[in-house]
Amino acid sequence: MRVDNQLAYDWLMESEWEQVSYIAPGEIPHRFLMVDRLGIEYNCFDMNPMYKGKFIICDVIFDYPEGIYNNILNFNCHKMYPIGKLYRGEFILIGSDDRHPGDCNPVDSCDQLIEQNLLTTVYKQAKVSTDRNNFYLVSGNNL
Amino acid sequence: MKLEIFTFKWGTKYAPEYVNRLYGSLLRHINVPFNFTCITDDATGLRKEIKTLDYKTFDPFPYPKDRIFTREKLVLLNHSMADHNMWIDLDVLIHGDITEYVTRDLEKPTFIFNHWNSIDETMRRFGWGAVCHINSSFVCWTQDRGKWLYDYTMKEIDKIAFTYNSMDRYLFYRHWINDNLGLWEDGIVYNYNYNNPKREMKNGYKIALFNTSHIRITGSVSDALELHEADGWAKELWESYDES
Repeated sequence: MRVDNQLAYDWLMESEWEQVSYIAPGEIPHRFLMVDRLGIEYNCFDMNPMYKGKFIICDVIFDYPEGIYNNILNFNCHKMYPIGKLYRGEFILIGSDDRHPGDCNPVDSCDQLIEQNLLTTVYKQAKVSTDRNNFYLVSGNNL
Repeated sequence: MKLEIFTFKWGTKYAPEYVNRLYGSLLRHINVPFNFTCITDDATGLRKEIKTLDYKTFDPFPYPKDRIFTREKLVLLNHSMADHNMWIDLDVLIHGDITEYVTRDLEKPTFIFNHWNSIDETMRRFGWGAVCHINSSFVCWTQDRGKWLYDYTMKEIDKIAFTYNSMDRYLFYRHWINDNLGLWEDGIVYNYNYNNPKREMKNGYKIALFNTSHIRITGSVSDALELHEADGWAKELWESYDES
């Protein structure tokens, strides 16, 4: 598993969440899709139509879909407007500084994630470096 | 029937002859009466028959130019609600009659779909957030049926400006994907520089696009030409519109 996903998975397992919405999961490891067997109900929202039938296809930033839980795991903060400005709840946020042409919001620090998403309480934060880029992870809430 | 046609000229990239020759090409290839307006920050050198509007009034958006680039065009959807309305970029070469298209009764604002690219390949890379299959160089709408797009854009402008660097990408990811846009069928518009290595006039088509900025950035065509750099049939035809 990719290192940032492994850490996010560990944080999810350590949380007391009973429900979680995965945002922009894309090709996430199968382990994330097995958490219901561990007592965590989940749903997935992705704007990419190639996941039709597997995930709920919509853009959570613009479409405000029904069914989003108060616990949100966002795998691609670097590709979207800060979700914490639009939703209230508990978050695990992952963003990278890769600066791919499709990344409108390159993430260069945990502080950036905290500030952008209006987090008022931070439980954990971490930086994970690979040979190509850095991932920043934060868990916290904006309640 | 009233037909209103608009183009934009701002900054220094395009000389006045781009506007004048575009107007000449419209006179030759639209066989119903129309008004032609150039929205510009410098009307110097434009033919006297061309109406002008102040460019400043068409950019109410408090964002740098590299956000939703060419967003000014969307203001037209709120500005012009005649029977038939159209905007067209300066860097296109019309070489066939387009009356049928510009007088069509359109349910949705209608944009160019990049038929010269593979939509399967575009969709394969959709999740990257960097692709686009929509082009806004030639757009028509009927009456007020485009106003919703202006209203939506203004309502969500902060998020749109944060997310999208170009207007075409915004339209593709936000509106094409939700089936909100009309699309010109294949056989009307093509790209002079792309998938057209000999730069020939495509028989049966009506409009050649010369917009090169994204092609040069991606490097997909290393020697892409602007309209004023073209030679052969394109140069001869473009210059001939001085006489229209």
